[in-house]
Amino acid sequence: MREILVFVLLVIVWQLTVWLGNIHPVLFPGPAAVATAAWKLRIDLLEATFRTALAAFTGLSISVIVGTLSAFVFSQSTMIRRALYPYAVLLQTIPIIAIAPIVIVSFGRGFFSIALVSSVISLFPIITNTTTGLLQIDPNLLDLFRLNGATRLQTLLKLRVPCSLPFLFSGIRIASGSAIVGAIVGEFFVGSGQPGLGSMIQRKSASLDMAELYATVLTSTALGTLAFAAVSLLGETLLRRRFGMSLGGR
Amino acid sequence: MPSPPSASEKPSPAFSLRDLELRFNGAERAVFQNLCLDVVQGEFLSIVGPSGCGKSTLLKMLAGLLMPTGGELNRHSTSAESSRRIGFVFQHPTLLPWRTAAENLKLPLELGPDAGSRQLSQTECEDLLLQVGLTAADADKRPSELSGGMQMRLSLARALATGPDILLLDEPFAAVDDLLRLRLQEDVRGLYEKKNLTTILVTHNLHEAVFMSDRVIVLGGSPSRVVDTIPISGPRSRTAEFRQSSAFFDDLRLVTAALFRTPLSGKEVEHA
Repeated sequence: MREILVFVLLVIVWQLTVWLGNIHPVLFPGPAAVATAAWKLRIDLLEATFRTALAAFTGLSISVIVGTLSAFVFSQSTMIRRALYPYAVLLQTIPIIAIAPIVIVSFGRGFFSIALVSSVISLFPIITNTTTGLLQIDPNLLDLFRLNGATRLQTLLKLRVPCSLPFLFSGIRIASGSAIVGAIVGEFFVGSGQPGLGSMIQRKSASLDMAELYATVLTSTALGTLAFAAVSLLGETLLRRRFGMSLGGR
Repeated sequence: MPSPPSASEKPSPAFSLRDLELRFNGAERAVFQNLCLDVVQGEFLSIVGPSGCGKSTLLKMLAGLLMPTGGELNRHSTSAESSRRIGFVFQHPTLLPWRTAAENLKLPLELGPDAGSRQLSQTECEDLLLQVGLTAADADKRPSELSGGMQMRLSLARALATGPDILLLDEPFAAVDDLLRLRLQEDVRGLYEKKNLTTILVTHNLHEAVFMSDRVIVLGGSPSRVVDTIPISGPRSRTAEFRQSSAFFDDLRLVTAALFRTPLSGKEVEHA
């Protein structure tokens, strides 16, 4: 409720700023102009949103598979973790605007490249969170497993993997927003060949149609927020119903 | 039902510790040095001592979770499958939240190289739950649906699931309220009397130690060792009346005095 109130307040302040400041719509369009542009573009925006969401979902899926497998490897020995972890950090520190052109040049101007850019940017939180979850186990539970002679595989499957699920979902939640940003950046660099929010942002900024640009940017933000909320809801429901655990504020 | 050894029989040892030493990696000061202790089968022994004297560490060594760096630790098990014959109850219930009570009970039998060779039937699960004061209806509940006391009872039932002959309790009632603590003390003592399990309890609570045990040992010093042993003169069958008896208070005075005489432990020396 408070979030909605803040949103309404922001829109009012925005509209008042445009009216009272007498700002030209090319420089700073008001919310009414943006809403009109969004309604005019609704079919294009819906289609672009679907394409971007599909690319981000594909990228995020690749990240979940690669990230979880990497975390399993990292959790197996301190030596492996120390040797490989800096490379995972390296992945996080390369600017996404530098990764996108490299990926596109290497893999072509297609859907796969966009999904791959999305995957690269969303991989790190999944690796770090899942690795933490696999390692951060209650020492008493580990003692209980040792006391009963549990094998390494039994400890992994019956203890470490279920215990890491809240961490994995928390990682996916953080990564979901990044995956949308990655897909948009990928589309931005691919250009008009691939319809999506990124290509639309590029077109609208080139034509200086600010109301339509704002409408596209706000749609991108809404998609990111929706992805975050959907993953939170899915994670929380699955963890509570199936595993008796909570996603919490991790 | 097994019965405790009579006075004429020489009791068989469950554990014998001779000049035991434990030193953590690279530590200058040993946790234990020259620690000697005998625990006989069918005995209820409590370990008390100042904070940081290594009570829980000693329990973990008895369980085989920590290896001594010197001396001898012999566990005389009646079973070839010795590690399975130890039930361990932690300070917290340490249950798996995604498993039901029955599934948590079955966990120890699903572990180890011989996992699945023995399984608990539904009737056995319900019987275990009844033994610790839970009901058959609790079998399908997840830990989050059980109260703190019920979770502790479930943890105790899990420790009994492998049919142990030794039960190790690491401050199991420290996190429950006073009334529940008294009830759990009576229930665990009752289980001990019924099953004649060799039981070793680590506790900070001297009333608990005196009420539940046949013998109390006091750990202390730096490095830590057994500084005093007090036999408890209470009857084998302990009821709430024992708490009000003069024998109980006499033993409590002895244990309290022994604890006051105990030299400071390593951690307390550092703190001082």
